[in-house]
Amino acid sequence: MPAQYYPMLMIIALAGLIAASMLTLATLMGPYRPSKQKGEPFECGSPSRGSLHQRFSVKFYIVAILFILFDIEIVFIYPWAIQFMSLGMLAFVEMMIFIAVLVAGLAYVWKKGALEWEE
Amino acid sequence: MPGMFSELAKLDNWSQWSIAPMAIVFAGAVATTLIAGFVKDSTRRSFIGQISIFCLAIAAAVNYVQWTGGWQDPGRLVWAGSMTLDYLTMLMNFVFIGCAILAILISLNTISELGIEYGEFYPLILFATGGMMCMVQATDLLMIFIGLEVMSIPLYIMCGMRRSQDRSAESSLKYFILGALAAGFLLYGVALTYGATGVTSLHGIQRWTMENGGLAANPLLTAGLALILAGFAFKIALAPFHMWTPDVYEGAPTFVTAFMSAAVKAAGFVTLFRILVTGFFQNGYTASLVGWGEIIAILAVLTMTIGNFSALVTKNVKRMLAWSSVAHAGYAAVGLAAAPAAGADGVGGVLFYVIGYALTSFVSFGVVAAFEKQNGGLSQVEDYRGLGYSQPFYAFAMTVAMFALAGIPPTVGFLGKWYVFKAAVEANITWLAVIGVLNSLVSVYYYLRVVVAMYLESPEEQAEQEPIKSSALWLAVLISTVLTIGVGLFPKKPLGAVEKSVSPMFVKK
Amino acid sequence: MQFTLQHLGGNEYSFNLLYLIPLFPLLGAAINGLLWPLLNRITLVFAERKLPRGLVHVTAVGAMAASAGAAIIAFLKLRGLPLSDSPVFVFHWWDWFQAGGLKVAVAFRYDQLTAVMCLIITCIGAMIHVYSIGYMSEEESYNRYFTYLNLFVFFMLILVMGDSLPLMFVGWEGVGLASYLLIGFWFEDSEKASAGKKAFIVNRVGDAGYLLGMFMLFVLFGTLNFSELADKAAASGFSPADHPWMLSAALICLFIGAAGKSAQIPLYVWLPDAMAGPTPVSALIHAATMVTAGVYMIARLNFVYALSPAAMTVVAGVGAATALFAATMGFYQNDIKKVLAYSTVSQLGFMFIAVGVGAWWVGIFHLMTHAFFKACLFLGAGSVIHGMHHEQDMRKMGGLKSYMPITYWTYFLATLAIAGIPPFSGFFSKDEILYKAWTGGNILNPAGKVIFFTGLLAALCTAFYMFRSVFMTFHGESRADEHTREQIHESPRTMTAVLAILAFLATSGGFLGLPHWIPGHPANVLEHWLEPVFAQSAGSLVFHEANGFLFAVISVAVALSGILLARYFYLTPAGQQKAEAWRQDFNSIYTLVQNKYYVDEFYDFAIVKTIHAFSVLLWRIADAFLIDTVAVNGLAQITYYAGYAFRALQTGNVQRYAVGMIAGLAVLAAVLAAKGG
Repeated sequence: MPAQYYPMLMIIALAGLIAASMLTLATLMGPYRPSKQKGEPFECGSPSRGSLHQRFSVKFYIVAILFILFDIEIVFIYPWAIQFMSLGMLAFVEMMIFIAVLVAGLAYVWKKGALEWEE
Repeated sequence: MPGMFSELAKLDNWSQWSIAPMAIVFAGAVATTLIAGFVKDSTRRSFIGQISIFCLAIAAAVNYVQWTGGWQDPGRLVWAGSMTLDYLTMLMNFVFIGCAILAILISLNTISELGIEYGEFYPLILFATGGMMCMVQATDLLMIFIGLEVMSIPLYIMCGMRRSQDRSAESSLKYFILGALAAGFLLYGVALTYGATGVTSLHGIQRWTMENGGLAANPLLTAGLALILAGFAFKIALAPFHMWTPDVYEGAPTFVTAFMSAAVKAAGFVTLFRILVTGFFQNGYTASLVGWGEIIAILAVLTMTIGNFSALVTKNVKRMLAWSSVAHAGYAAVGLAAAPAAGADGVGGVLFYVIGYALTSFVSFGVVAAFEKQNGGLSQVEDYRGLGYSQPFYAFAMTVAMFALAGIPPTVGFLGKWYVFKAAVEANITWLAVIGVLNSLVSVYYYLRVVVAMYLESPEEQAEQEPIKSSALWLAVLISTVLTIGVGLFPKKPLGAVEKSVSPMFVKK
Repeated sequence: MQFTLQHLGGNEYSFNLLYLIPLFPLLGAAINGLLWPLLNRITLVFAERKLPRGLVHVTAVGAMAASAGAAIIAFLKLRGLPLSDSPVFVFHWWDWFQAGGLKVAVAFRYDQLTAVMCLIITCIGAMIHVYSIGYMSEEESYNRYFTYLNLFVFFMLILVMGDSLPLMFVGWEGVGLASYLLIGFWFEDSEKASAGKKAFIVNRVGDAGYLLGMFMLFVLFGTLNFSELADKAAASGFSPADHPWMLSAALICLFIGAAGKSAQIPLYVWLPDAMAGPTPVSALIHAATMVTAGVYMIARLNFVYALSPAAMTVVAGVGAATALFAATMGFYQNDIKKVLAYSTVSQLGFMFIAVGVGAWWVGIFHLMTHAFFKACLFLGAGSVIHGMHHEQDMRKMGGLKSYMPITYWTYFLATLAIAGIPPFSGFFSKDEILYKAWTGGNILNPAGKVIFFTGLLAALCTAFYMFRSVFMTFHGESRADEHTREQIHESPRTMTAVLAILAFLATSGGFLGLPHWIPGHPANVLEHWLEPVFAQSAGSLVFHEANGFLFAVISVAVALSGILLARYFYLTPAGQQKAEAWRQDFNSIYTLVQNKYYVDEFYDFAIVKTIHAFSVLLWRIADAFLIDTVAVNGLAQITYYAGYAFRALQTGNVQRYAVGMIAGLAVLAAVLAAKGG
């Protein structure tokens, strides 16, 4: 084991130790008086109702997926834009192909109605 | 404007040309996606399939030009060392394109029978095909990973395309969850390998291990190899990473199952042996460096045995074929296990085996697809009773497939088994060949049962045994049946291609 | 097309007529199986009538006649060349596949041994085709029958003409397939269909032995081509001592294959059940040709078998044991075809004695005479069954002599031949086998003497049970019921003519191999003819001198006493009473033999036992060989249960699968680390 990792190991151990000791101390020293109200999930004072697992509309996921896709587009385009002059024609053509593919995807998504919230 | 193209060529004269077939397939995929989005009329859907076949045909033609000399110096690295174009890639491109065409042919008329109302199937199969081509062409672990994911994600979707069927949805979800886990293994393996060696290219890894005394010197690299092995063992369904196979194969639409069992398995095997042989294997002083041969041998024994014995008690034909597909991965792995000692013979055996199995897969699953309907159809072995008399063509094709799977000459299945077992004997792991032979003995029972049902038993009542009317499906079954027998009788050319593909991997550098 | 005989150098001649010999039956099968049904359908639609049935048998018999013609031409050409040069015809059709050092071609080899086999197969095959016209005349699937029969002949010819072990294996598998299809020909009867399945599966067990043996031979010699194998075996560089066990193991594995195909202990169980097929099929496949493939294979590989006394001892020993064991089982069979089936198993045992002690030509000699008289017997039995309207039980026959005179006389002559009465053919070949067993010094001592006495005892049994069948069927009072008795008739001309020809051959066939002790020393035609094939191993084999005449006297005495015993017990009232009394006294032995020593039941029982966990474990660790042989019937059962065990793992629960994968990964990493570190 390389020696330079020892401090890292010590920090991990220390973190675990602190967390464990805090929990243990709280359990040992704090008063323990359970009641029905305390056992309920915290809900800002209003009584909780319904299942914990709620069904979300699939639209949320689709929008999230599309957001990530186009987000990543920016991740690629931004550095290219900065170095545009030095990268030259090859990179330009490649980037155009990249954008064209994304545009095709966008067109498909649009046509399919994935961007419309209301039916 | 002429300046633009000269600049394009600056990177490497050959880089663009080397990926031409793959690029054509991807371009076709993007185009058909758009068409599928804009064509609402469901009667026009088979039109998208025809465009896809057209794209694939062009890709095959370009690939043919490359194979016959349109590509100098096969095996040179392109795209900054992350890809190559060798005969192996070109041969596999033919296989993938062929598989995609056959799968599309099977699907053209059956797809609506199964209640799949989307034209998106065709772009998806093109994307998956392109992903396989990328995976096999790549010589860099990251590039391989990208190819693998591009191949896998469309498959997850295709498995679940029969949305009205619970089994199809279950198939898709299971495949996706476990596939994500396996991809995690693989990526983690790549990361550890990078951590140990500082490179991700296969040739770089080989150089590093040769200079640093092999795997033994580095536990990190060992762990990386184990994770990569596990990731691929999942894709090609080696036990104990095989458990998804029967559930997924059974639930997926049959033409997707055929495509998975033929092309995906072939792609997985070829990529795995490219990684192992190029990255983790050094000619000359292998024994002290490499332990993967023995590992694969163990996995092969497990896989063959579990696959065959489970198929034995399975009554549903499609599920039985799924288990048989597991068993066949085991047979092919026998050749891989022999590769460290038998060299090109072992890997060549694997390659010939998976290609032969791909052909046979299309015969058997093609026949299953012909009788699979939204409601009813044939599913159990008993349903096939008397098929030899009511549907002689499909029954004959099924018989050929069963004989090929059981390894009875003169089918391609016999030769495939012959080569992998012979490689095992050559590699001095005769016990593995013996287990393989005994296993194929067991398998004869359940393959023969289908043949017996078709010819020697009569249906209990007048059962409905009408196939789906589809000349494309008929054609696909005919082509693959003829090839299954034809390659078995005249294997010289295919064997020459296989030999040409794998022998450069073992040339000492 | 031109047929050219071209000298290739050495003793090899290229002769492109050869491929026609197997091609004709294949064409016949294709026409009968594909073309006629298709045309039939067309004529049904357009002309509203069926094609005449005659087309089918004209095609099939025509194909056989053409094939026999080609075989005879090749034989005459071969005879035209000086025998001392040991000429061989070869024909290289196309390269099948190549892998590493192994090259396999679709190529034929026609030497003296092949010539004998081809003539037997095509000539007897043609006769049986003719016989079938009458026998199967009332059959619905007439064309299916002839298709299968032609297909069988095609594969059998590939088996004997193939010039390498892999090509021989193609024929080997093919005849197994044809046999399976023909045994289960009346598949509506589930018992008959499962008899076919049993034959196929037992044969597959033998095939595993064949394959393993073939692999091992390849490892030893680096080739699987017969002439190259012979060269390698002859080369001074190869010494069996360098491979003490591997050569013997390879040859014993191959013998397991032969035991499967030729119904030897412990794989003989399928042959009696195979009698479910049509009787001409029993005559052709299960008596005259296919079941002798194992004998042929060993004779073909004589030059390697000669190198391993151990393997030869196993062959001869198993042959002798089978000869006696099967003969005793023939005692109390009441089904006329079953008697003949056990007698076939027993006679095959004699052939294995011959090739086991190194008397190759004698094995082929007995193979040939057996083909004559056993085909005659089976066809005679078929004629009886045909005349009796599908009655096979000898207890319901008797007195048929006057109803079916031609059948009786031909059957009687063939029985004299199998019993070993001079000058009928069986006498010469069987006597020669026993003589060679006594004088041969090529197998481990003192096996030869034991085998001699075992064979002698088997010969006694043979004479007894064969004459029992003659007496029960043809002599005495008729035991058939009134209705049947009225309808008993002699069979049609196509059947009796074939019987007559075969009876003639069974009578005179022995003159092709006259023994040396006959005054004047007439030439032994067959031995001389086969000399070139066995020349290589002949040098290393030893046979002592003994008085051949004495042996002939002993074996005739044994045969006669068997016949007289049968006459006493089955024709004289005193003997019948005595037999009845003994049956009471020795009831247990009687039941034991009548139930075929409960071997089938033992196979079932042994399997059920092994299902227990411990036995399964022991089975795997202990002895794969034992399982291959003992588990014949129950292999399916055991594997089935194993399948259920694996299925329990397949829960359908994704989390479980994931856990399985992670556990697998952990083991994988651990093993890899242990290997690497």
